[in-house]
Amino acid sequence: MSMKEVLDPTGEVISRLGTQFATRLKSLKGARVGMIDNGKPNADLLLDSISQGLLSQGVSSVHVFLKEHVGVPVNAATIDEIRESCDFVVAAIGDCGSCSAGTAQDSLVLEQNGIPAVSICTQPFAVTARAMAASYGAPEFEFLFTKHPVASLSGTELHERAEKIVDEVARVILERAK
Amino acid sequence: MMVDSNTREAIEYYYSQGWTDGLPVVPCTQELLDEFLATVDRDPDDLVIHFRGVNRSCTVRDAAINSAMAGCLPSYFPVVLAAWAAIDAEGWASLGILQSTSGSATLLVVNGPVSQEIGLNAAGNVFGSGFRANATIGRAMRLTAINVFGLKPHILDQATQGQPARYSACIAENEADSPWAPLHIDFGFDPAASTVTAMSMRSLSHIEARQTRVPEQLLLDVADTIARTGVLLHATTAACIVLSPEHANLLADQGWTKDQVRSFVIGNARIPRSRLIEVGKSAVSNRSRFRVPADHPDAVAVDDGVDSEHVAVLAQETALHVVVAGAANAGVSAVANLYGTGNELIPVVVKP
Repeated sequence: MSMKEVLDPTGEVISRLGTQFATRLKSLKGARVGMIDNGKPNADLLLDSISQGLLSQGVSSVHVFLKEHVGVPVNAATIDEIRESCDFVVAAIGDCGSCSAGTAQDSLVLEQNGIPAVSICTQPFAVTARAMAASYGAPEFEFLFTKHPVASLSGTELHERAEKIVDEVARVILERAK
Repeated sequence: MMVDSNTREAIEYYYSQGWTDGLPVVPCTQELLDEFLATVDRDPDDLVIHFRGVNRSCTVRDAAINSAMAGCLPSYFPVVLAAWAAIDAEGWASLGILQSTSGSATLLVVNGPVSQEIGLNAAGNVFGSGFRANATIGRAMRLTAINVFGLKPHILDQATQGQPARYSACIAENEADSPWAPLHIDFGFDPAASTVTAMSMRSLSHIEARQTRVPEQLLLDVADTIARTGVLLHATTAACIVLSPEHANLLADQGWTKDQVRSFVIGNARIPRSRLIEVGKSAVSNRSRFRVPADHPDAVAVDDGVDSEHVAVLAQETALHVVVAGAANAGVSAVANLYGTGNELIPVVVKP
């Protein structure tokens, strides 16, 4: 190279999660779940169906939180509410460029706050979610990916989709057998 | 002149790091960076803009390095910083629009004396190539998005198709050939002030209207270009019409003010309700207010205005902006379709 160094044009990432994930739950029985609805079409209906599935597995209560905007993570006030009222969280749906980064961050920031959390994105946005996790210093962080699209599914199709997701949520949120 | 043998190596180094928009960049050393920083009264560590959507921030130093790499002259840097302030004020970038599947591009409109001072093109080929200030100031935005905010295509930038304006989109208003007060005066700024206005542009559609001298005919053509069903992601849309000097003067010569133009176009930018039913966009989804068919599981009714036969696509006076740009040589104008309500736009003053 020449005598003068070229400068790095990239930015710094602000908050890091590293490997400090929240402690996993021992059981879903009696646990209170928070549902973060980002407002995308069918997000509410998908989360409703997932809630029903979780209630049938022993979850004691469901608390729904609406995000101010799809493209950003859940805000500090909502995080405080969640810490008061929930034992774990499910966030949906990351099915576009900005909302997949936003939805991925929902679980990342909640984990930073000690709440086990899982974000659901559609498959084309796995790469976005993983890039966000990497930028939080947690490339191995787990998300759930469901088939794209979700926005144009019927009520019955959403219900079928949710049934598959419920078991996956439990797998991610619960402590694994050693 | 002679070229250092390392020049090509430096350009290839940037490619190998992924630090480009696909075009070669200008290698930026500390010396070049210092020239940029000397043009503004800002600390290099000052925050320029924070993107909540990706949890990253851009400092004055980051913005300057990427401006230099984009090919800007140091004298452009105050305009670049005003552009970032305008992007921040408009608001959508920090919420993720630059990585959205919609493929939006940032359109910058520059007003005031700074355009002439730095050689920004306001006339022929205003959206096209050939002018360093336009090309590199616009490019600095996307290059910064890629490098500082990590919005690389196929990773965090998830644009389904994108658009050519994502390389660069920066125009100056043709104030010399416009019959009306320019954009920044519409917003109450002093004519002597130089400003930058940022818009999240979904698409640019041109209007061929060389055949008419009738204001209503021309403006119905404009309204029709705005009111297409494909533009409707949400219940309504917003637009900036970029009139050529010929069209603007045709209107002004027959007594039309900019406000009258705006009112007429807003009133006529409408789609038959039956057409929205045909394309499956007659209702909106519950919270996101995305257009969906009435039988969609998440559908709710939408208040589409007073006319039972038609749906107005521009919901309010602020949903339409008017700029004059291009050569005074033909009846060709353009519509920049904008993300949002149009309410977000605010010119920001260029300062050292």
